[in-house]
Amino acid sequence: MDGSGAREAPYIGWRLLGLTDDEVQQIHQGTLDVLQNCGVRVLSAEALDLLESGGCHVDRATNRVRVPGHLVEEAIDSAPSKVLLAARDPAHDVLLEDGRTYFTTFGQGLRVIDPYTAEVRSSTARDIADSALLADALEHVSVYTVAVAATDIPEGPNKSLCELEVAFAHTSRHVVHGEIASGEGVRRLVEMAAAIVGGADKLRERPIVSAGGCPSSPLEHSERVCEIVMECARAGIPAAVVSMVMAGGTGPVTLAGTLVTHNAEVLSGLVLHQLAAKGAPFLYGSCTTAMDMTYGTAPLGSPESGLLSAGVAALARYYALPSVVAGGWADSKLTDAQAGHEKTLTTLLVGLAGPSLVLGMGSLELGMTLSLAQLVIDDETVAMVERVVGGVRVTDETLAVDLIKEMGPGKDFLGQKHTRAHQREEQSKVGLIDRRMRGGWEKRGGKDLAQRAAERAREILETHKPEPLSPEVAVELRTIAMGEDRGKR
Amino acid sequence: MSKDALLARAYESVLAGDEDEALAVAEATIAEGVDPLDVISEGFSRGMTRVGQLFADEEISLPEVIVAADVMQLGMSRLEEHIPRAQRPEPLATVVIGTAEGDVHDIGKRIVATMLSVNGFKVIDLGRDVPAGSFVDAATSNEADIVGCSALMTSTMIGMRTIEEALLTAGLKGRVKTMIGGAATTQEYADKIGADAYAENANDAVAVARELTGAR
Repeated sequence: MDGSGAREAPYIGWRLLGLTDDEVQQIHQGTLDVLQNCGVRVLSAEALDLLESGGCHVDRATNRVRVPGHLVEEAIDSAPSKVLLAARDPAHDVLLEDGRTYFTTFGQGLRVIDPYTAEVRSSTARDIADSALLADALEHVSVYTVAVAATDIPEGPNKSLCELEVAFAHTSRHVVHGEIASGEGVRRLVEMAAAIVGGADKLRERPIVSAGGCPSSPLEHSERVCEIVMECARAGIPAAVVSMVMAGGTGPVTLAGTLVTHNAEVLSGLVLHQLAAKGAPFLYGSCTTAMDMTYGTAPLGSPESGLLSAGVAALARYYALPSVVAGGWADSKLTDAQAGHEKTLTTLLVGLAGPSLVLGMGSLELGMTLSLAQLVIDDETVAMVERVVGGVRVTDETLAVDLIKEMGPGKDFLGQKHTRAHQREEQSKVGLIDRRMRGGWEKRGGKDLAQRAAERAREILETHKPEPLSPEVAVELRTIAMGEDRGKR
Repeated sequence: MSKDALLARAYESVLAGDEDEALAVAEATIAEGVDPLDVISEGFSRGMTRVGQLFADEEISLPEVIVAADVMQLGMSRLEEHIPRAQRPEPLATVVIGTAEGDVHDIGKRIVATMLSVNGFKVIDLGRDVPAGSFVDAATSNEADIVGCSALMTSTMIGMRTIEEALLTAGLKGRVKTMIGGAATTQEYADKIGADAYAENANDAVAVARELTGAR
């Protein structure tokens, strides 16, 4: 535990050995082949210039960029292996590094299950406020990703900034916005964050916000995403390139092939990023999954999603890069047994694979619906998975052979000092999950988990008070978000 | 080869996704002087209708649908070469389709375009990142009945509203129906911008297009 008091995720004891080193190598070699001999399409003139002067072969007629292997290796080397996701409140700082996994809300959905009426409706700015507040209160939501689009804010260049404004006001955790509209939007996002921390230089040291974008699969980077990546790099705030290949659709149906496509997209994004600002913080991202061929959808609660995210975690670890991957998702439309299965399957697979950050808390319906009740459950699911990754510790102390011999047959360990000393680290603690016998459960109303979670979510909404922004900062954020400062320039 | 046998083989070739068989049937139709229009409507098209139904019932999957669609179009186009232009099967309606300005995601839109064309619609696919003006121009020059727009991202959905406004300005709103789709869109948004319809997936899109144009 470092001095700031920030919560550190447990060091990963039990790890999933998904892809072997040799398999990772083969995926890497396949990726280099694709990047060198096929390349990616890049739709930003500025990015093309940068990539060309950096040593890539650029065909302007087709916007095709071939990336030589040595540039890929250099970019992997120059990108930092540890990235600080700072928070307005340093107690919420998160240091992304190998061996620890943190969790964040999914962003962005478009629908919400209303926490009071249970109605399914379009998401609003209020829902961003509520989910940010809940993230602020829940122990295992380490970072807040803007969870939903505010459909009540008119479309336009200010929209994502207004969404950020709401997020900053309702949580003092690190904030991520995955849907910034443009490079200019990133510049304004940076101004907003700088206003909070007291300057652009302070923001570089302590980036309290990050952004990202998704390549267009297969193998294409839109102008908007190139701008976002380059601007983040220059401002020194973490940038995530989050590929979302759909196996069978925008990538090969074979998972290994989809990992190659995915890897080529992210690594080419990394090359651009490092050319824009060498050494800038970068997150290797993934929402890659298999396309369901019957429904034509991109399910994320599936085993394939978990496997692909775990594969990506292995790749990112091989490159010594921090990663943000999809996990803890449900395709179910409500908090039911299907959601329970999907959330646990994908949280566990991904938790054991050990990426730096896992994206998915609070979501239902393939990521389209936010549920605050589900968010509360997800917080506890993460706690349970953290216990799993903590593993079975085998040491002289934990083997307790001397103690066992000393006590001999017929005694119990309840009153032992050893029990008290190790209880906390050895046993998971539940709040929402009910482990009583039937009588105890009935005495408390005999409610199912969904109901208990909804009650808990409402309780938090009504009692938790996030650290507010100062009035001066709040005014400045409003001005920047509404573009009103533009007139002064 | 009897006419009935040819019709059956044409139908089966689509269901089986068998290109070679479809071509053989087409050649046999011409060689034996059987009416190619019948083989198209009661063989290949009927086969595709069955495939569409199986897909709507979630009994077969997308790759099977795409293969069947390719086979159907292959068989049809081989036979159409032998049909005088004036007698070729009329499309049910003309649809101009594309992905909204600024949006480059189009796999869903391509599936919809395929499903519409194998269900008898004439489809003009404008591609991705299409400005509103291009939708209107294409609708005008092709005398389109429907303009369909797709968007994956909330930030590009605004293009759908722009299309509505542009159609209004061009005096086409009402005569040209509009439909929207894509992960970011909802019925609510369609209602908000005045689009005539919203479709959640490719099957719905075909049903919606039929309803909008009164086609069977």
